[in-house]
Amino acid sequence: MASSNPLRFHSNAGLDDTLGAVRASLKTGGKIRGGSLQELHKLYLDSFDWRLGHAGYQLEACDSGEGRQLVWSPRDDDTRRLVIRVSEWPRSASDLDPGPLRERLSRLLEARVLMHAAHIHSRQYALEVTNKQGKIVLRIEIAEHFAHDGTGSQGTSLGTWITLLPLRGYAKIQQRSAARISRLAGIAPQSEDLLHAAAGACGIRPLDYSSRLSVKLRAKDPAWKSLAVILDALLRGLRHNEQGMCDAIDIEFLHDFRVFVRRTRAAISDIRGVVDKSTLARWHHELRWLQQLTGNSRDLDVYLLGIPDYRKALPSQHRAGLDAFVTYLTRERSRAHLELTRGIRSQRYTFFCSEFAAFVASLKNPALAGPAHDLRTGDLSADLLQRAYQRVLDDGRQIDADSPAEALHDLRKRCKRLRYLLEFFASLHPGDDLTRFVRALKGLQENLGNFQDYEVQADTLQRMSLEMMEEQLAPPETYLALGVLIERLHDRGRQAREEFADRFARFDTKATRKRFARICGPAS
Amino acid sequence: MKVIAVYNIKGGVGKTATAVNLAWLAARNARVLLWDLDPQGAATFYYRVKPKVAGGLEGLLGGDSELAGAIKASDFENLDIVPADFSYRNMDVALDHTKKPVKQLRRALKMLRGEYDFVVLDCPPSISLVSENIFHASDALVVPVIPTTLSLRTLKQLLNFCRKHDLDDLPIMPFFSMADRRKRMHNQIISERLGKGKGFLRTSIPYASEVEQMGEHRAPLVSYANTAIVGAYQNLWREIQARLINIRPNDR
Repeated sequence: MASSNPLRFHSNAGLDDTLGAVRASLKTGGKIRGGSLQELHKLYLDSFDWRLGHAGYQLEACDSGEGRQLVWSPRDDDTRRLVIRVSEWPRSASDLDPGPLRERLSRLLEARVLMHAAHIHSRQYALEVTNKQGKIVLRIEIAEHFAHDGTGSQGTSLGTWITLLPLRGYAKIQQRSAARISRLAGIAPQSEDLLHAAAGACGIRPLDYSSRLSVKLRAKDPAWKSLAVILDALLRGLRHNEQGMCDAIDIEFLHDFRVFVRRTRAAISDIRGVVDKSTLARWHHELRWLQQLTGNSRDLDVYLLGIPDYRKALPSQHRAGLDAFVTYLTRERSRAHLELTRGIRSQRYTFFCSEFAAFVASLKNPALAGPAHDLRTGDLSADLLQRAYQRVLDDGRQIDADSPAEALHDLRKRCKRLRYLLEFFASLHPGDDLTRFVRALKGLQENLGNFQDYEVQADTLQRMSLEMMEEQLAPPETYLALGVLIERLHDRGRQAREEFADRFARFDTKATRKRFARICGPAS
Repeated sequence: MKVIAVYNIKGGVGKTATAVNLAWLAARNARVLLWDLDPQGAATFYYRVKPKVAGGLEGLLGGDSELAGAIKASDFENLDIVPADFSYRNMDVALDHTKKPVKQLRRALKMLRGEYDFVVLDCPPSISLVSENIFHASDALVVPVIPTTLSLRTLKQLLNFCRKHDLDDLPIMPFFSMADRRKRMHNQIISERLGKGKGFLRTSIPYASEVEQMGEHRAPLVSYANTAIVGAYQNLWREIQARLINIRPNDR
């Protein structure tokens, strides 16, 4: 039994009988303190994509009626928990006072907000076992838990639990006491923790969503089957984000939605030959519509998110000039969001979802088949990846200091398509080679992305600046600040352009080429 | 992880009272480890922990430091302790027999990086190899100084020592401790020093009999009392925190 984590038991008896039995079973040179009944309300907080959970942490919010506290703990070591008192539950990291918990949360959550992953109502006795010096050597919680949906209902009973909390340096006492408790009648070990038990009772599956695409393909399966698995996962990812995006819970819903749209576009364009071209034309059209529908909102999110960085980039006398720009962006963002929501709630989107799902389910149909329909997935994957990689190398090697910006933009798109293909077929190529190749590709993508972003941002700010001027929305200081900012963005773009040759050389190495050859070797 | 040593060459200046109270205050919103380096074990006593480290001093020094195994949870959330051990009285000799005798403490603490936000060292008085270890391991020294000529003299000795041993970059935060407002000399020294703004923290900790009563409660004063001295410790911690923000990580 691990000594750095709580040891839990389930009791068949009621709360008071369990308390009596546990007290009688404990041996101590000191005293057993506590024993008054408390009513607790607990919440487990995490982002929609379970960022805390995926990183191996848990955030519990506990309201005892006398005060509220947040308990942050690594899932594998409860002795390293951090407990802080708060007056309100935080929605984002910035709602907390400056300190280590805020730092930890903002690093993991970034723009994500905290949502309520599970609600628990508990009636609890908390016992403290002390030694002869009066030092606490063991903490025990005996509680009756109810999982509920947060609407105030009593909820589903999870039964009576006995939890022996770990105290660093006192593991033996925890283990000895656990051994004695385990011998009591009607007591059984409880393997699940409270979060999982409560979530399960409410039909929630912790860690069930991640913005990463995770599909398991088999090399021997026909291509149509693998394409169906990929497209099905992408459609689910897209739909998962729909509600949060419309409700504007945080900006990452929209970001993830768009990533799933882009991936889907890439899948139907680049997993070539599996489906007849004419069948795909409709989906190209609909996905491009979704991309355009959401583009404006996302761009405005990015500009609003970039404001602190823009301010830093400006000399101090120009910083206040951006205030009117923020007001303008916020107004435009509301308009764009309204348009987006209208689109997502339209019949066109509803049809798209149902018909695309039907299309995915019918991929086996020979009437839809392209030339690669029944090819082994392993062979198709190797062929597609090799072609995509070769295109990146060919295009990249042709770029020199005099090449136009478009050449870099095209290369960026090529890299992105290669990256998506690597994501789709990742399960066929397990191991370090893929991870290290993707890391090298990311380095190049970062440079190309920066170049493109700075260029596009500078042009967009220019356009916005003119729009604001026409509508007389801002004082002269704003246009002055934007002018300086545009110049800075061009400087950054030029810098990224200058760095390209070096970045590409770091990507186009013998070691990386060999690694890629190994990835595309016989698929497992 | 920021390492704060509560240190003075001189004994009886309020080091332990400062260390135990600052550690508790820091633990209100951060993970804190208090290491009682003084073989007398007063800080350990205040927190009701047994003054014993399994394996003694030998286990804590050298390449395979077992510091993590010596840590005990306190009765307070977020606050753990490495208790004192009587073997610490031989720490100088033990350090002298190691490979890098002035960096052993730093090396041992490095293994806890990521586990704690603050480490508070309650240091024994004297200037020795143990002190040098403390200086190399710390991000800042918090130095309680009684407002007397003799106490100021030891502060000067400390500053000279740091200058001569390439420790100029070690931030030193002296503050007045056990200040008795009824004594003219105390008042005079405090107003002179704070007036000159010579690196002293603005907060002074007054002399109070409540500090001595901590031994009866066996808990840090700030955890149970609500008196003026508690407010002073809170202000002191706020000031230290503000200074720590601007301190770069220790790369000595």
